[in-house]
Amino acid sequence: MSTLFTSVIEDLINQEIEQSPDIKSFVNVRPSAKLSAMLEILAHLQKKSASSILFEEIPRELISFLLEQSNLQEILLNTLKEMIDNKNDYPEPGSVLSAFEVAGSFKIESPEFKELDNLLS
Amino acid sequence: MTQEQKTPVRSETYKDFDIHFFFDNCSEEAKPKKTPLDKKYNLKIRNHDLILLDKTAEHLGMSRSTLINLLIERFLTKAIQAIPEKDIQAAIARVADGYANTDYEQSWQTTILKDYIRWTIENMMEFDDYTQQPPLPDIPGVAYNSQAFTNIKKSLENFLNQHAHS
Repeated sequence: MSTLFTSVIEDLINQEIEQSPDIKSFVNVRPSAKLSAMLEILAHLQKKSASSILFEEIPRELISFLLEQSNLQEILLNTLKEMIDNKNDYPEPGSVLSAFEVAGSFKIESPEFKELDNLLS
Repeated sequence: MTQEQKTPVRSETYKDFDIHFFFDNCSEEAKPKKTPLDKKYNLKIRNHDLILLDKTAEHLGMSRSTLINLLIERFLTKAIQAIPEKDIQAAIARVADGYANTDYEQSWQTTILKDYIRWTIENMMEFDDYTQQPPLPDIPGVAYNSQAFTNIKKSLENFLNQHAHS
């Protein structure tokens, strides 16, 4: 993937993430001593909590990491399949998944939408 | 085993007092024991991001926590490498390493120096020296620290004071 394209996607995705503060889950994380120490220092220097830095940075880094993966499509596809299985047809606004959708990486058409589309055409 | 049962490596008598040493200066017993920093965080995450995280970890054959730690290491490394002032990079790395109590091989100082080690080897081969240019300033007494370093130094000192006993 070209650097320019990656950069455009990252910008779009970051905008999408910033738009929604919707929070649903909590996960316990125990980083190594090296990582915890740097996290605590950054939190101190930025006058934020370590947890809020993690909340802001993990999704951004996940995007950057995913854009480097050769099997990105497979990862997104399997995630979307699980969402559909869980009756959550569309990505949560502000999520990384939603950001990929906004950036044009994929599009989901529900059966209802396709039916309506057929009626109108 | 008590110290009385060990054979001293050195004995001295001072004013009728016998003083016995059971380890030399290089003994592991003489070194202070390191206790690495152990912290746990509650990561807030959107439901769909959690599913994506799990699917990514599954594709890469790693656990969720390994992937999260990998992402943390990536953004922290980028954060410190993005600081333009080298003196600030070094100061933050040194404070973090001191706080973490980890070995030098695992340190942030090693992380930020990775690229420079390669350049240093090139310089050693090319110029028979560690650096291409003399490392010392030509004019004595000139401060080479950046202005931002002077500003951030106080904040790092505050951090050390706050965590001195934790």
